Amino acid sequence: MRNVLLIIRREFLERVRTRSFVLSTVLFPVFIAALMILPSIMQTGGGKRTLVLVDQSPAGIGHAVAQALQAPRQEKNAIRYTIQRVEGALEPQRARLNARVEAKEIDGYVWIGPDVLASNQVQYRARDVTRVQVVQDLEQAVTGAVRQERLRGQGLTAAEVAQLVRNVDVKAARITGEGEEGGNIFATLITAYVIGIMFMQLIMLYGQNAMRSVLEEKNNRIVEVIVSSVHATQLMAGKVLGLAAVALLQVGIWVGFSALFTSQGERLGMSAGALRAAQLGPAVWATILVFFVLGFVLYAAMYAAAGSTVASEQEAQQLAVPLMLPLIVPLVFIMPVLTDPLGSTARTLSLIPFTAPVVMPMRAVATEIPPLEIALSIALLLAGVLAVLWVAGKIYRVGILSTGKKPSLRELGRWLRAA
Amino acid sequence: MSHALLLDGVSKSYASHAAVKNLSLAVPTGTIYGILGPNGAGKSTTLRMVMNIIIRDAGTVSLLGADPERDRSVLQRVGYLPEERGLYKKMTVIDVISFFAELKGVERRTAVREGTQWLERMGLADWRGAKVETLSKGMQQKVQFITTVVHQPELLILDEPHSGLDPVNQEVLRDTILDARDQGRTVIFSTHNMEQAEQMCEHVCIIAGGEKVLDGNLREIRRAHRTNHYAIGFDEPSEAAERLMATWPGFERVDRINDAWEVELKPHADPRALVTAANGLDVPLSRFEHVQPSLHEIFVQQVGDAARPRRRPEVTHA
Repeated sequence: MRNVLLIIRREFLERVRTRSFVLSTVLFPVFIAALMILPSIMQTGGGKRTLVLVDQSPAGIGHAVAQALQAPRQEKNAIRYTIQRVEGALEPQRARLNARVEAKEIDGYVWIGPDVLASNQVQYRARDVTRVQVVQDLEQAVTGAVRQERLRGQGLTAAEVAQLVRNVDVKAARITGEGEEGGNIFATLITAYVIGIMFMQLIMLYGQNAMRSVLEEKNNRIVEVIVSSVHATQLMAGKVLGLAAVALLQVGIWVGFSALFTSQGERLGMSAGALRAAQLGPAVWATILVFFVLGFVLYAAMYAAAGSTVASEQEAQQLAVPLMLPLIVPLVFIMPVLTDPLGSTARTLSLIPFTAPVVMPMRAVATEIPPLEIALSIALLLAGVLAVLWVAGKIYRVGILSTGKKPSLRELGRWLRAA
Repeated sequence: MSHALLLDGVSKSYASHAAVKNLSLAVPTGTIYGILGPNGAGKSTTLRMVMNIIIRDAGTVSLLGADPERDRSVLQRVGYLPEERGLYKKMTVIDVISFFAELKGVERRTAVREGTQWLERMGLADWRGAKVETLSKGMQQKVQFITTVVHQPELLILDEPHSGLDPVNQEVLRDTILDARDQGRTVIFSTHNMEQAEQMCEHVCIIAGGEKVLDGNLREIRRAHRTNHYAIGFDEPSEAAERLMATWPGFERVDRINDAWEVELKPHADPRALVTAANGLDVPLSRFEHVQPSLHEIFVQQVGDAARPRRRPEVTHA
């Protein structure tokens, strides 16, 4: 046991001290944070716009538009408009307006023609018509004014009109044993998706790390010195657990980062959905942790055993591909799993040890899974882990000391019987 | 006499080839023991079986009184330098040394202290905190050697320790091995270099083709292979000497080599009578030597054809 701990410590320290570990650990949250914050920062360009409204419209539509645009708004990113309303046709004024835009006296001008109710069109000219928000605001204001005018034509009062055109909001919430949990469908789906993909990536990344580390010991001939003091199986166990510790540390740092980040979320201008996505219950966290650790050990052991049978990086890369396949299966079924987390696809994949480590955490985030089902899935996964460890340990024991060409399947069979 | 290592009828075969056949040997405690043989003779396989790195097919092993297959803890008292060696390139020198020492059951603090002393002794004190990959190959080999001895093992097993060492480092290695013996430790090393074995070993075992050719105390082996050959030389040319060499009745065979003679005596001829006769001449006798076969000659004589290395099939140590 002491030797396993020594190997865990060595493996852990060697990896944690590398520059690439520090970089990936720090850069990943920075990258995610940037993804979440940057859009809101970029939108705050809101600022002011001065527009000339050339108004030929009937029935005070132009007036209503100017009012709607200049009304004080709640949203942080809203643009504040100054509208200079002038009456009359566009053509006589066009040249002068264009000159004013050029001279940056105004940002642009809008022309509402006399036939706006029939033509359903207004004209907008500005330096930057790609500024989508202005166009959206204009559309909203004009549509509102035109719609009200049309409805008033049907004999409705302004209040009645306002009542008629109100939008409908769908408020969704997750039902759990602890009661209703806030969060909208979209945020939950995204969280489940991110966790699933992240698991897959981490397991693959660290699995290949295990493979490379085995190969290093084998190629550097360190392994013979070590197995003269330590049992090969202990060496493999120490290596896999050491890597698991590194992965947990990395994920721990990320979770810590995101906790800190979400606690400051509102100040940083994150959307409410993104905020709520990060707030999972302790039971969900526990499930995620258990499946991550077990899945990690399962795959790392497989990769370690595979690494022991080859002699070069190239051969290792070739072997890495088939080992990835079972991890890719959940990706193929990601939509059925996420959209119907209690359905038969999701259930089946959670019972297969090779797919459960990715599928179960996704489901756990998306919905509440019956405890019995979680227990069964963990039991099967544990059995799978033990079986893989047993086989991998045997292959590893023979493999790390073998030289020469890659063994055939028949030779692998002999290794299993011999060791 | 107690023994640090006893092998009895040990065998190991790979798929189509017997690497070691029915090998028995006894290594007395506190001696330097050489396992000699050409490349591919089965030396490394034997040592790996002793270290329980590969599992023997048959026979018994008693390492420091225990069977390493049943009681792995005995391996903690052994320092093993494999033929194929390596270190973790990204670790610092002192970390590597203390890691291997800790695997042998040494406390971390002791390991660091002992490791530092060894580094000073090997002239590597300045490299204590350097990464292994920054060291030259010779320095790395010294560090590797320190990892083998730092836990003060009772028994050192060194597989081809001289390979790849420059003359200076070979000297360092020889001194360290002799020191270890003087401290009462046992040293077993394998080599295909007979001269080295001759200089250092008290006991040897010669194997070829996986089988033992001969073993025992080096002096006794030499005595057993003693011949009746003598070398004789005089200070200056002399007719009387020429006459003696041509006519002395005890010669079986006489070869003139430059100014000296190499002779073989008849089985019952007394070399002392030859000395007396040579001393009675008009020129002083400058050389009279009983020519002993070197280990190399014994080896070639014993092994003959078997000394030719054979092609080793792709090895998988199942």
